[in-house]
Amino acid sequence: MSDETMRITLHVWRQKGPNDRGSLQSYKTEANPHMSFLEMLDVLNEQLLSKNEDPIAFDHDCREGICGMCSMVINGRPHGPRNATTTCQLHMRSFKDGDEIYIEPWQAKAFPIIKDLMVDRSAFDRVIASGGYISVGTGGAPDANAIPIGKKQADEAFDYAACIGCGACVAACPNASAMLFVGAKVAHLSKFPQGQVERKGRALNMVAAMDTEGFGACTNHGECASACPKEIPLEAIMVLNREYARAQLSGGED
Amino acid sequence: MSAPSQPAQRGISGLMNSTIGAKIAMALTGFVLVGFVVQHMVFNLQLFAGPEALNAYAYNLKGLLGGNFVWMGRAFLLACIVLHIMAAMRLSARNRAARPNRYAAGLKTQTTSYAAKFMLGTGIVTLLFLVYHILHFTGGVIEPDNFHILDSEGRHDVWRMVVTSFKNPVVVVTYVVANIALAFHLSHSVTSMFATLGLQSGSYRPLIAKIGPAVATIVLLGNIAMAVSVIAGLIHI
Ligand code: HEM
Ligand code: SF4
Ligand code: FES
Repeated sequence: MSDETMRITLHVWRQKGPNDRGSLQSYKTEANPHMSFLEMLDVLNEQLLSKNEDPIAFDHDCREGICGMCSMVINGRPHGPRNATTTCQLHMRSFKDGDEIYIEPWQAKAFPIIKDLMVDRSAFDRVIASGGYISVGTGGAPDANAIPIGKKQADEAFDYAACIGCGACVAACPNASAMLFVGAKVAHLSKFPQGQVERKGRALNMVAAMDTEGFGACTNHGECASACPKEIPLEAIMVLNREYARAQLSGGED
Repeated sequence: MSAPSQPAQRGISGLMNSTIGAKIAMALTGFVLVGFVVQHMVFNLQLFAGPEALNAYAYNLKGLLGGNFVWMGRAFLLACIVLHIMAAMRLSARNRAARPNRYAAGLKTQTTSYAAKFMLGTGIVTLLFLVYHILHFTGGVIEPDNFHILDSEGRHDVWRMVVTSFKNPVVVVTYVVANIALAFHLSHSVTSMFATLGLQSGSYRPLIAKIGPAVATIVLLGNIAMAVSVIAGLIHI
């Protein structure tokens, strides 16, 4: 791979605040192929600051693919062109010299834009608060082996637990549906013995909370799973649909 | 435990107020409608067996349960289609509202299909065609002259009615176009129906992905074979 400087043109969504209309603004910048996508934006922001211009607001925290903050739609794909890769783990070597890159925030009614590329994802927190938990007795630490869990169950639950709540599934869905996220949470917790107590109420409450937040419904496009940086499979939605139907059919009370 | 602002969760109103619940209603009513469409195509293929077979079938069907069977069937199908459309309108409006501002550069979709993107459109075309088709062959309003014909046994001559109609290229084009719209609807929806019920699961996923396109292709070919065979002169009076 070459180390040569790349010249790129960015078209970035700029929006002063929640009520501003917003539009794409173009910037020319240079980048090194080894830079991460966010480092490329950092450099551009330094340039903007030195010209006394407003830097581009974007979310980020861990920059190692685990916090789920670095939300942006790059060339029409949440987290950009690479599968199973968050924006912070995307490198400029995935682009070519002379490329034009479009950068936009997640677009969903349930994720209002705060500024530029930053959105408010607290709708996910409220969905989690409605049922994404298990209750455990307090007191001394329980024996690690007190509740045996089969290897297959543990592996499956762990795979669903990999969801980092980034919202790429919502951003990618033509209906802005949160089914993959909610499915991952419900599947994760309902696979565990500890998750059985609140199992039916969890499915009903989390679905009701997701609907209250204004996310769309699933029409089985499958876009969410292909956008997910943690490769949560569509199977999560199958589990959610079954958990919901099961809770409805059995009268719902735990 | 639930926040006070959350909608009713249980029972019929809870179902229809919830996105997953309304999808379940759509999948179950869709299942009935698909079942109707498939058997309707299969039995109508008796057009190729000649007037005796088709007219006798139609005559017997209308006589089942003293003539009540067809009316019970029609009432049930009407209830299903009304529920299906109510859920479809509700969810489509909701899905549009869930993304008030489009992406300026557009979404680059990876997995979806045209069939999935145009479900509401193909559904509406199907509905318009359904009204036309019922006025045409069930009510005899569109071409009354072909409708009121009896065969030598004194039965409604369904065979002659259909064959005479399909000699008209405008009618054939209408049926072919409508069936293409229906095929798109079925190609996504039959697979989607399994997914909505949580059944496109595990190792069945790839198999179930093929069911929609398979059912759609069979229904499309079966239905248009009748119209096309008549206008091509393979079936004549
Ligand atoms: C012969 C008539 C029809 C048949 C056999 C049929 C069948 C189906 C089936 C099986 C589904 C799948 C449900 C699911 O995804 O779980 C479906 C979905 C749908 N139908 Fe129909 N339908 C018919 C007529 C209509 C009409 C008249 C409309 C609208 C006016 C309509 C609009 C829709 C929509 C919007 C969906 C939802 C797509 C989605 O959520 O993915 N359908 N249909
Ligand atoms: S399911 Fe995937 S895309 Fe959706 S929030 Fe979780 S990690 Fe992000
Ligand atoms: S900044 Fe934490 S996942 Fe990208």
